[in-house]
Amino acid sequence: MIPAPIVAGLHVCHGVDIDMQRHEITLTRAFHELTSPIHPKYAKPFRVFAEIYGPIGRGVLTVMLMPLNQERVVYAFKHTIEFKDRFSPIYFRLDLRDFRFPRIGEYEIMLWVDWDIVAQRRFVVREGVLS
Amino acid sequence: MNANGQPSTPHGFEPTLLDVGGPDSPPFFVWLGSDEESFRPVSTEDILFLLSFNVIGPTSRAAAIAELERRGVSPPESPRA
Repeated sequence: MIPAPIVAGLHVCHGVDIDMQRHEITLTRAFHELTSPIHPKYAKPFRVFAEIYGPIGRGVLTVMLMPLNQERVVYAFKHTIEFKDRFSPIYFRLDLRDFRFPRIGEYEIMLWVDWDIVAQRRFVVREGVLS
Repeated sequence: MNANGQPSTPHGFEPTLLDVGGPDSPPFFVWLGSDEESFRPVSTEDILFLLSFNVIGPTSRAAAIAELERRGVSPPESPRA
């Protein structure tokens, strides 16, 4: 898409409540560090939220989760998005569940629209049962 | 309108909600603990799509290419991004 979409904040958190009537967004427990089970156990579910603005038109939104050493992809998601106008955002809420972290350490979530990286967010995973 | 009679949001502000990741919109790739096994359930189209990004890393790339070859599909020559 030209110009490339803009993300007004990419957050990882435990809860996202969106009131579409009042245009209010409540993020609960946004984090930079996540305590989670490690492979072979499943990760504790968490959420990704982004507010995305773009030019009028359609594109493909791709989300990837990777260890920071970029040895492998852990999770990849894609979805077609459509911007109705330049000033109305897309509230993107992704529920990440049913996947495993290969190891403890730093991870990165990357958002792409078509071939443009529109947002990146790093966080640290530490091993534990629950946080 | 807010309590002061002012518009509470800019004129024409019409956000769209994209609420995904549940059973109706699952990810197209999930690491299963083995890189080889992880690409088995992924469609050929989605493997090619993933390979078009240069950020996926050598371990995933090698497993994706091996799965394409197992299906008799030629891997792309180079990633786009």
